[in-house]
Amino acid sequence: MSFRMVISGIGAVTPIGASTATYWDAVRKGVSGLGWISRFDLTDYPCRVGGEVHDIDLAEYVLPRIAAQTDRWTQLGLVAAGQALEDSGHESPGESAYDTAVITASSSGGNEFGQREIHKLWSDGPHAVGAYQSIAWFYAATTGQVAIKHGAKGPCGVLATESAGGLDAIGQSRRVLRRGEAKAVITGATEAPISPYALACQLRGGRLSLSDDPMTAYQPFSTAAAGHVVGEGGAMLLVEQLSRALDRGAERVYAEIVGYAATHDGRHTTATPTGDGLARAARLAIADAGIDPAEVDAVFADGAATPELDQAEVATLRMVFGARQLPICLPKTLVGRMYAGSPALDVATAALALYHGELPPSPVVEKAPWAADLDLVHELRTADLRHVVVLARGYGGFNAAVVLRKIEINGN
Amino acid sequence: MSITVNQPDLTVGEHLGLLAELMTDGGFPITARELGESLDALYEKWGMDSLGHLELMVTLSRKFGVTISDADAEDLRTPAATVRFMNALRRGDG
Repeated sequence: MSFRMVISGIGAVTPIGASTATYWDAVRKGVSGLGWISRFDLTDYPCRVGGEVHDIDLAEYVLPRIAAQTDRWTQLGLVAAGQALEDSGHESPGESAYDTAVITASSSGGNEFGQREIHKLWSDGPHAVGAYQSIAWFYAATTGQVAIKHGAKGPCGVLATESAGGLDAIGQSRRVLRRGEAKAVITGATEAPISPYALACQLRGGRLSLSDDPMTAYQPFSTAAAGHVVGEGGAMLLVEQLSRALDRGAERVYAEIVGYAATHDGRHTTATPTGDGLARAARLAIADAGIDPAEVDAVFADGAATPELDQAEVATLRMVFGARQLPICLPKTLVGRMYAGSPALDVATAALALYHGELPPSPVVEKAPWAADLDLVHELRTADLRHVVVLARGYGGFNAAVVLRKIEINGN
Repeated sequence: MSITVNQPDLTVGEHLGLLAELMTDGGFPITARELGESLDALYEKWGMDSLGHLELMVTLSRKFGVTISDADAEDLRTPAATVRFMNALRRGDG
């Protein structure tokens, strides 16, 4: 039987819903979770707007001893991973602990935890730095904690390719399953980039929107595009081979992941972006899926929301799809850009879109002249979808693309 | 051990309360009374691993403004030993 990797479980923790069901209900209604950041005092910060996860009490999900030794990013990941496992019905550890792997992505690790410990370092000296700093800040912490909690001893890892990481983690999961190194992988990404140090770092990058208005702060492809809004959360998925999902009687299979590819721009971040690298990643992913670009029914775009990066993404779309207008979805404009978490959430959303036959809307924008022919989805759209492409770019030149297919079993 | 005590006026009961507070902050919720009932139990009783114990030693160090050596930390495996240590700090004869 040929290799077919499917998504059979989804966990989503977002500013508009802290479970897959509440998120999907909100995103299909176009509910925005952006607002003024409330997690800390923004007096000295020029930006105000973010997407915070409010409607969840992490203490209900994370044991006190785990909470004490983890960053918020890891705690959000533990919640999402637990949801994905429960949704899928996959048991970890099952018959063999080596059947399950955990592969996540992270753009900057445990910012808030690290900030607290660095404060202790400079105020009280190195002896004051807590023991848990050694395991809380670094990129692999979420993978490790999820693996420990669920007894997953398959090949685990973490991808650190900034905002492309959520797709690269899925690509690596596909390799692991294809090689038979595990029977199921908990994969995806969450982020918690709304803390004093993390926000200061992002401001230095120059890509954050400084608008005070949550309704207009994040407008990719528009004349008003002036940067993205930061968001926290993301999604975790349970992926496995279709044959295994069917054999164990999985309650549902959302979508099949049929293509993946990645590239790197190979030049300094200050160089003018062209979209070439992202286009190559998209073409390779589509070829990997064994389809033609004409067979793609919708794209979940990266949506950086700066004129240069948006124009480069429009160039990508034209290089890959020509003059054809195809629906462009930007659900991240409702929740903020979660760095590695965003493409993972986009894949979850695309899988839900394929499963339900609906493309979720994003707020109406006044399109820039060079984006005038884009078919941005602004109202919930019922669609006969078969293939959806998710695009992602990471700061530093990372590009990735994933192709999802509506699940078809025996031609149905 | 050469130490400088910055909290010399705590009673033994208050030391237990402080220890319970530090353990709770470190992710091991417990009351002073519960600690008092298991003074000689190893910290492992409450699920504390080596990293958790090291974290407790670091927070104790910060709280009392002293440096706890690895050798001293090895001796502080129970609430009783830890309270004796805190008492010694209080008296300034640690």
